[in-house]
Amino acid sequence: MNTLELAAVTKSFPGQRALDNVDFTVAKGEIHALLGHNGSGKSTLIKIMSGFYLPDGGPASYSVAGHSMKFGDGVGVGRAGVRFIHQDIGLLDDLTVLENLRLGSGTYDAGLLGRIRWGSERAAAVARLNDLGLDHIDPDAVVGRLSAVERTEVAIARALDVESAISVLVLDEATAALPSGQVEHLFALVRRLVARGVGVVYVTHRLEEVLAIADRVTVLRDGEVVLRSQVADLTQQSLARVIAGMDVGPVRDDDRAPREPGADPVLEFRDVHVGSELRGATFAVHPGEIVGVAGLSGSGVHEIVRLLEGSQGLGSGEVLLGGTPVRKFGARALRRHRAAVLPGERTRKRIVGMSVAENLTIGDLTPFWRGGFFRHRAERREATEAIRRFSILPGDPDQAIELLSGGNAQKVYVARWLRTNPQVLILEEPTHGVDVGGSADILRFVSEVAADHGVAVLLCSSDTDDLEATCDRVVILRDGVVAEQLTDREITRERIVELCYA
Amino acid sequence: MPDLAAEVADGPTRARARRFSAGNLVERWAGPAILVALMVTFTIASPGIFLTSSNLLAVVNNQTIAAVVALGLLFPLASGVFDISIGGVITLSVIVSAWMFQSTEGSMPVALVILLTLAVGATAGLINAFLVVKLKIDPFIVTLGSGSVFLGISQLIANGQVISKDIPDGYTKLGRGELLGVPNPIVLVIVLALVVFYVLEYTPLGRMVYATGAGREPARLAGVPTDRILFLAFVISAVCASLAGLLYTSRIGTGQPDVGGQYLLPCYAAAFLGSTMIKPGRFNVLGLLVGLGILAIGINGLQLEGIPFWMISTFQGGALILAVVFAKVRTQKTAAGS
Amino acid sequence: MLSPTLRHPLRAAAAVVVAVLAASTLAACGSSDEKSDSPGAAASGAWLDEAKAIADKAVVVPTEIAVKSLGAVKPAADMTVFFVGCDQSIPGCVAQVEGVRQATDALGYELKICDAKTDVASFQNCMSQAVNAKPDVIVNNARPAADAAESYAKAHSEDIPVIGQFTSEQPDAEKGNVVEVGNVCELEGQLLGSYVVAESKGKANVAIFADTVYGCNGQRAEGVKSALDKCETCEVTVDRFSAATAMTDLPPALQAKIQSKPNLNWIIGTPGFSGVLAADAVRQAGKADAIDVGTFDGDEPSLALVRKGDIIKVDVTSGVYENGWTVLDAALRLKAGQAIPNNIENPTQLLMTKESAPSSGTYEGAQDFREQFKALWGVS
Repeated sequence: MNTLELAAVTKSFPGQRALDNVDFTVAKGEIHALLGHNGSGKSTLIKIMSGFYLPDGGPASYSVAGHSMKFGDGVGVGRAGVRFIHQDIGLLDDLTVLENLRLGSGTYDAGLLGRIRWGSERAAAVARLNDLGLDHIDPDAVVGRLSAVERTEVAIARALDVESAISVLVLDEATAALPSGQVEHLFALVRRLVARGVGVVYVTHRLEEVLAIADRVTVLRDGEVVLRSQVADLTQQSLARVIAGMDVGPVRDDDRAPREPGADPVLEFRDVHVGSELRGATFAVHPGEIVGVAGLSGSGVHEIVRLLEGSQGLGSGEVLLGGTPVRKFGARALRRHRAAVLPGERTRKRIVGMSVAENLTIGDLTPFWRGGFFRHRAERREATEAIRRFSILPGDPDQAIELLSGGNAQKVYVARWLRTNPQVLILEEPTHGVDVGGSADILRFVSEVAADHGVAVLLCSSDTDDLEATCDRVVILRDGVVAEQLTDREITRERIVELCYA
Repeated sequence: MPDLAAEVADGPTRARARRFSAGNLVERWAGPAILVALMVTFTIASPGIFLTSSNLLAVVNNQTIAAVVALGLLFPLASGVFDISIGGVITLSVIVSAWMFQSTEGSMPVALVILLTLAVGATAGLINAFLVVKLKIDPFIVTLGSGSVFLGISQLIANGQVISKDIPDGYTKLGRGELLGVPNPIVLVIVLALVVFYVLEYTPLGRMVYATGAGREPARLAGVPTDRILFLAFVISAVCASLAGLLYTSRIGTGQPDVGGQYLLPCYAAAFLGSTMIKPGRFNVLGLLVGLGILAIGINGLQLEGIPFWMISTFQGGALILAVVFAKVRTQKTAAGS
Repeated sequence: MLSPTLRHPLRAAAAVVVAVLAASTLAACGSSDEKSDSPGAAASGAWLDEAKAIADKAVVVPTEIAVKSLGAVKPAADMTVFFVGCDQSIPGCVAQVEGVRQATDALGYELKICDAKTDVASFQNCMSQAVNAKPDVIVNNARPAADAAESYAKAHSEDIPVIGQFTSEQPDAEKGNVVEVGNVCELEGQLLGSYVVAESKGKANVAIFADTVYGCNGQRAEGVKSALDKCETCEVTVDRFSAATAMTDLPPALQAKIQSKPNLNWIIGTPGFSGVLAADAVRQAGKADAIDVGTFDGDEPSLALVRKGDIIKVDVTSGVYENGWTVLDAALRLKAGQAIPNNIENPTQLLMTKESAPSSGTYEGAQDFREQFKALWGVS
């Protein structure tokens, strides 16, 4: 019997169809893995479940435990017993387990004058933890001191700690932050819940976890269900292929001559450690070469960018630009090495409240500083020129940056760095949130500067299509080290996915 | 409180989004229009009194101390941080400069006193900047605390005595004198306003100040030395405040134990009012001057008609809130629209 | 996205708000009708002669301290004086303590001081400390007795006399406030007012600006006004401001007054710093020749201008140290069981002009007041 049923869900965003007539069901006492690569539509589906997004009009329907749900009614969904645990589990680190457990409930066992009866609250919390088999967690421990697994367990305990019955638990990449190998503890808890008849939706990138715990699998790709299967019929490799979309032909331009790395490398990582994620990466990028970096979240790709942009310190090892060891990181310091970093998230690039022209030129204002005056007209000329060259729409340099679409804004940020004539360009998720046409434009610009100006490009991307289409070489990171390097024709998206999940 | 502060500091910069869309002539010039309307109204209401060179010159001269402080204040505000220690810095500068004259029986050269006092102000700004930038403490809290400390140091130096002896004529002439018929303080404000206008509008530094205020993190990732910008902003603000203190000493002699704190409200009111005009959403020099003008002319005109004293603070406070409400409303509309 | 046209009504609304604000204020306050100044024949009358007489007397340093008429008193061998001072970061408050200290030193008495700051809590704290210390006498400088009524009652029940100094209150023995020293604020005002009447030859057009925080300033304003009211051909207005916002509020108000009353020839400001602000306003308006300023307190910045005859022409103050000695004199008489009539125990005043101001420092007290006190007390 299905405890959750979604039928005929379609959802469009401007320029793309995120979900196309998707059905999704969870049975009582079932663990159902929902898989798919970035942009496949799985997070859109979760957000429709939670009421955050409304589906497009049409015959879509949603029911929980036999009751019909209204789309967009998050409160109703919660009342029907659906709980969501996200990667950011939302605990308050400074409070104790007990306090965190009670925070979500909203009601306290209160005595005279509203005094919280912490004694009885505590007893209830201990009972709850014991009931879930979490008796190893001290209710008085401060959450910030707990291990990552314990914190996730507390988050789950909190989600269950309400009066109404729980019918469905959605774990939305809840294990992404956990070290692999420690998730087994969490599985025990999940299995106990399943035994009580709770249906679980399990969203993850870790295929071995899927094989270990899930009963059934649904794989989404480009907003469509491409696989619905019992886990018993699958292997990790077959799953990876489905996710990557083996059946789609490669888009690689095979006519392109493989580039021989010419002179000495201009960007070199030597046994670089950053934080706890990047644990000794060694690779090099040569002039004119486009090197992709791929890896699952937690593999250390993110840390490479954080290090270069100056947000995270270098643990150990060495980074060389143009053969010189880099002592100071950050956009300003790297500019002296003629290197530029384009961060991924929009909020880290977009200077809200400034115009397109101002956002474009902020990377280097020196050309307009002549004769003791900032030449606004020269700036405008250059901005207009860049707008034309990168076909940015609308083409008004005085336009507020926040009124541009994601793709056009991204072109502004790419232009911000390209006009500084870097010798090394580091890009993080350059096509993330960018429509198809915009993505193609941006990748074309990148390829052009590499081919025509000998710029060395490091492309950190989770979009395997991009990597396949543009890279001369792809570095695969796993567990913080370079696990594999693919060159030229070896670079196919299924190989990349396979190696990432290996 | 810090959150509220951050939000307020955010307001005008974010609201700027609108500036670019369509020709916002009305939005840009509403402020100056109000100023003109006030002047016309009062000219009719107080014939032969309001519109006289003596009255207008005096109105402007009354605002000079606030104007010097507010011009400096533009830098921290434009780079997205609050500096409310300026009151303490003004007081410190008043007391320190007077004390240097008194303890040397007026023999210390005027130029040296001015330089040393400005150096004290710069030090105060460096302390603020260090706490905000290096120790990453909320600027509102830092400057609230440091302002009180500066005030305390002033009282320690004064030690309950009137420090006003032996202030040489050469010094008081600076504040009380005239240049080509224009009182010196007004000359100072004009020069300072031109310099600040030049720096904010016609140097890369000014652009980087605005970028830091609009988004510190994206600006840093785009290569703006945001830490250095913030250091500079706090130092400029404190130096201008101590310049205002010097102006005060040379005009008035010396003051109450807390002369400076009273300038906080009019300066912030003018700066925020100014950020809604000429270049709406950006703290800008012309807007600031018009804002000061609206406040001063408004109060002057009403006082010529005999309004009671409590109206002044009410008028200033009301203008501040009105300005912030504008910024907020426009921010929300931008957020809703994009 | 909201339509751009929605934005503009908002701005328009702002303009309306400002305009309405201005208009309603105009309507509420109305225009204060000024009598037009009638230049004409020189004024005359008994009141003018009287004013001249008072003014002539006030510029001379008094030779006798007031308490001389009470006769000698034999000081107790030993006494403890507990002094609850007003804010010790204010120069005037420090001067009061200094006077008392000089006197206790001369007698070899013990002096305890507590800084009552400007807030009520500190004052109450100081007063209860004072009572608990069981001194021979408590002195309260400038604070209203009602703010520490409990301590006053306790002092009364324990027979510890409390001497008020510049509290602007009449003594009330039942409540423990036995003697008031320095009840001279109105008198100071009358002296200044008479001087203005005399100097202007009965043609004074005066604007008084008085602070509301300290009661004394209001009494001074009353005093100035009462002297000017006797003058049939003078005009006077009184405006009140708060010392807490004076730096920004007072200058524009002074300016407006100067501009709106073209015949204004005197501005009186109290406390002292407001006189300096008034001088600055007069200078700005270019009316240094037409408008004179009078003030109180004998602060150095005012006196610097008085000595030069630069806009501030006159400053009236009571002997700053004599005051402290007078307080101790009152304490001695209380201890000795003498009755003290109201108002006789006050210190003397000096009206300081370019001619009568001391060449340095301020007015400390009557001629040789220290020796005079010592003679009364029989000490050397």
